[in-house]
Amino acid sequence: MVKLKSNDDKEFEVEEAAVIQSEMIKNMIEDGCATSVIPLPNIDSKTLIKVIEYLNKHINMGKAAETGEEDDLKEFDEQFVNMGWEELFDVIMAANYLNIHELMELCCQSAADRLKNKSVRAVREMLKITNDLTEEEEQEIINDAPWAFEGPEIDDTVN
Amino acid sequence: MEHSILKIPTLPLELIIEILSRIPVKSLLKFTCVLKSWLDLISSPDFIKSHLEVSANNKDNTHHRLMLCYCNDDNFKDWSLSSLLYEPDKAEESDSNYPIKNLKKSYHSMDSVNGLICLVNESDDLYLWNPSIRKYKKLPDSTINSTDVSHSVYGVGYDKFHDNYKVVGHTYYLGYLRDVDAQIYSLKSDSWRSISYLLNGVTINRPGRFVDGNLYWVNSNSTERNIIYIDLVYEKWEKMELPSFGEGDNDLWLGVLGSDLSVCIDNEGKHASVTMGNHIGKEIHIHIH
Repeated sequence: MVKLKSNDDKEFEVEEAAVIQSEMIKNMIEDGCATSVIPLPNIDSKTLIKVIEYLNKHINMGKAAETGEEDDLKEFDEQFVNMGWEELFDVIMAANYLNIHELMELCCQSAADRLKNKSVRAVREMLKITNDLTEEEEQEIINDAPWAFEGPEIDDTVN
Repeated sequence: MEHSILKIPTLPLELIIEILSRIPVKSLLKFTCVLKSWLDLISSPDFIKSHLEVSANNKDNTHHRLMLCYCNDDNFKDWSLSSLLYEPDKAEESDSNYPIKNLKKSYHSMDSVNGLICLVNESDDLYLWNPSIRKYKKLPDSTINSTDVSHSVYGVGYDKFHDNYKVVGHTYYLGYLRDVDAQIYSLKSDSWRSISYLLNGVTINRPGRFVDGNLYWVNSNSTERNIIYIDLVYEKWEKMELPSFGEGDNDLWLGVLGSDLSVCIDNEGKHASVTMGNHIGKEIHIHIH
């Protein structure tokens, strides 16, 4: 077992087989730097719980393919990314810090899929972005490729 | 943080790039209008390269499209490759926004590289067309004295080292069947220049194929038949032997299968295709249908 400590001083025990999906921790273990608790100063306990949930589920990725549990894993992934923007960004930052490639891929793709068909207004509202382009600048961008701002797929809702 | 773009929460630039790299081109064009820093990021050459890499390596082929050029009605149609592969019943064709249609000349696609399509018309006008952003560029004339030009055969490719797209043309002159020149166009300098061949009597009939940094053509003159290719970084010609197809007067053309060059042959109605690995002579597979 490997012990991880979040930045709000909570400790979690994780199986080594699960935690080595993090390249960062895998390297620490290989270098013999993981003998006691590993402090994770960039990750709070709420986010770390989510990350550990993912690691435990994906513990034997290779086996899932053999035993036909791929669909199960796919369903888990779909449920897993069903979270708010703030939480999703926290998990992305944790996955980036811990260097968990598959989790990064999953969360960034989910963020991209949520954004892609949204209108400019919806994106600004969802991500709490304050527009800093002038009206003229905006019009210039639209005039350059008006077709990109049209189409039945464009969604102006903010969920 | 200096590079942060989002207010809540503060996501560093590298992670914004990770997310935006997975967004289709049409949406990205729209998102240049979200925020000034997004406009700068999405328009930057580094981001464009990273987006291309993510799209090209997407294992579900989400951003790949299959495009066909219909010679009869002068039209291009395209399909999403992932729907053709995984849901062929649902795959819908769409008219590619074919910008050059209005120029009232017959075009055909010569080849494509990194989603950039090279078009040539009956008067040998060349265009580089990027259907993803619906923009095209007419290339300058490749020949100085175009009055005695008979015809040209081209190839398009990418020079990774200089991050530059290049077109290579073989130009034949009227009355001198043997008289052929090669020119190379650089998108960065938007100009052509002559390059000399390594051998005489080059006779090329079909457009070049681009694989792994090199542009390949079948060279078949009266005395020999081989493949000539040019390395687009060093702009040096090389030649190599064709695999043996046995006796007979057969038609040969080059193709690309995945990241390998292939040679296709029509031997009196029997088709064969030979896949050649990146290192010629290695891993040759022959399929005869």
